[in-house]
Amino acid sequence: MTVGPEMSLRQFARQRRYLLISVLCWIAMFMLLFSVVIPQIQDIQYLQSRLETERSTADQLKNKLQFLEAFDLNGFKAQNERVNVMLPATKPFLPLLYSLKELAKQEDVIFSGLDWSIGLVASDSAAQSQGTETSKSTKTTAAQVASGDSLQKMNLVLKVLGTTEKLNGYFDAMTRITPVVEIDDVALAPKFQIQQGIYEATLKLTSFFAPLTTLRTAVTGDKPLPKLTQEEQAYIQKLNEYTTFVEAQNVSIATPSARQNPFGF
Amino acid sequence: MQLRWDLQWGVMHETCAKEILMSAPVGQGINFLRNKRKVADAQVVHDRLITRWTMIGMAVFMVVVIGVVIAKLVIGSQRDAVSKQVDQSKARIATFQTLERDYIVFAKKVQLMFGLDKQREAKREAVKFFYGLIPQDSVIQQVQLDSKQFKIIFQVESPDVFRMLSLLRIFREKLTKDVIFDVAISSVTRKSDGTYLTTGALGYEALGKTTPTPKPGVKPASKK
Repeated sequence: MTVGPEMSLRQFARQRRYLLISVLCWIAMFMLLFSVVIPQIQDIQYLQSRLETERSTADQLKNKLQFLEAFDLNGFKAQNERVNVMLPATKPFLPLLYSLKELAKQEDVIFSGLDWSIGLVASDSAAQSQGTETSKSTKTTAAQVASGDSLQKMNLVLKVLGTTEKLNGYFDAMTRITPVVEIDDVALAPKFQIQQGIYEATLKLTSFFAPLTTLRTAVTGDKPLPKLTQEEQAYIQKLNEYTTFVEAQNVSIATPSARQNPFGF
Repeated sequence: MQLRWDLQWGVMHETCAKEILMSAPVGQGINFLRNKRKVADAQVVHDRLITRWTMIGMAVFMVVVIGVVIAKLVIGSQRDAVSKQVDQSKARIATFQTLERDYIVFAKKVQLMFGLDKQREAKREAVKFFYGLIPQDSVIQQVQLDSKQFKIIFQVESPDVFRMLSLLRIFREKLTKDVIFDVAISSVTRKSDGTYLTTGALGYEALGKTTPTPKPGVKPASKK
């Protein structure tokens, strides 16, 4: 094979060896550029973004760990118990009735009626049944899963007898008892046939509970802990102003007599 | 013939060849071998120059390649270190799982109750204001507290028409001065026993809307 009219390939290669080396170098550089450098740079970019993410995760976890390690367990336990009494995970039927009864004694008013068609009460099944019902009724969505994490209501109707002053005191004190209860409707009817000045108050009450099923089951280590605002932290101190009738925890429904009259009316 | 062959290999070459031809003394004749060698030497010099720059470029390129590889290794090792740190932190946090769950539930409950309390506070203030309006001789027959509409719907019983008028006057006097509350009397009925029943609604929207609603939305419990 000849390259020119008077030069063979070998002669050409020998004559232009430097040029050929240069050409080979350029080819090698291009090959390295596309096979090594560019993929490596892409890898570096990916690694850098991952590194930044992991660094922020590491920082979050570090803060979380520091927070958990520096936790005042005794103080928290007391506050947690108080919060759980105020806003229980299940329908607070028995504790609420006990509190209302004790408050009635304290404020000198008398229970005269109660509408308690409130479904399953004060049990884990009550909270679970709601979650099941929600998931059955419609397709499961994130919002519905979170429904177990919302504030839920338990309604009941209560009738009490007393003078207007005492009833007023009862209503007022009712807003500061545990579990949290809210008066939605008050209707007064005179019961002067019983005694002059006596009224029967029909109260539509709403008590609240929060199963928080999703939160309880989906605790993962890498999510940051929720932060309470300063107002919310101040509110925790305010919880001590609520009256708790602790005996409500000791109400036993195990004995036959307790079953007949669980609230001691 | 020589010149034509040279022209195939570039301008520089041609120039060299031309120079050689021009510089050759006319009387001596042309030494083709020597000229050819000179051209070849010039070619080699030129090629070596190109090669030198190529080598410099190659060296720079290799430095870049090595730099990239080292950078990747460094970032990779940093990532491994951070991943290890994350794993260690997760493992340590796992030992606090019960506390973490309790705290999350606690915080959520506090947030829910705080929102609820804000709503109740508005309602409480409205009720307090309303109780303050009612004179001693009138009796509140019914109070419906509508948190969503920020309204207190009431029925007040007055023993006679004068007390009823007095009640209406109180409403008018107090509420014209107040910008937070507004009242709407929907009916006044005379009952068979001679008492008067005043029905109306006290709105506290301005007060209620300044307080946040509980997060997330309150959902009524299902009845069975």
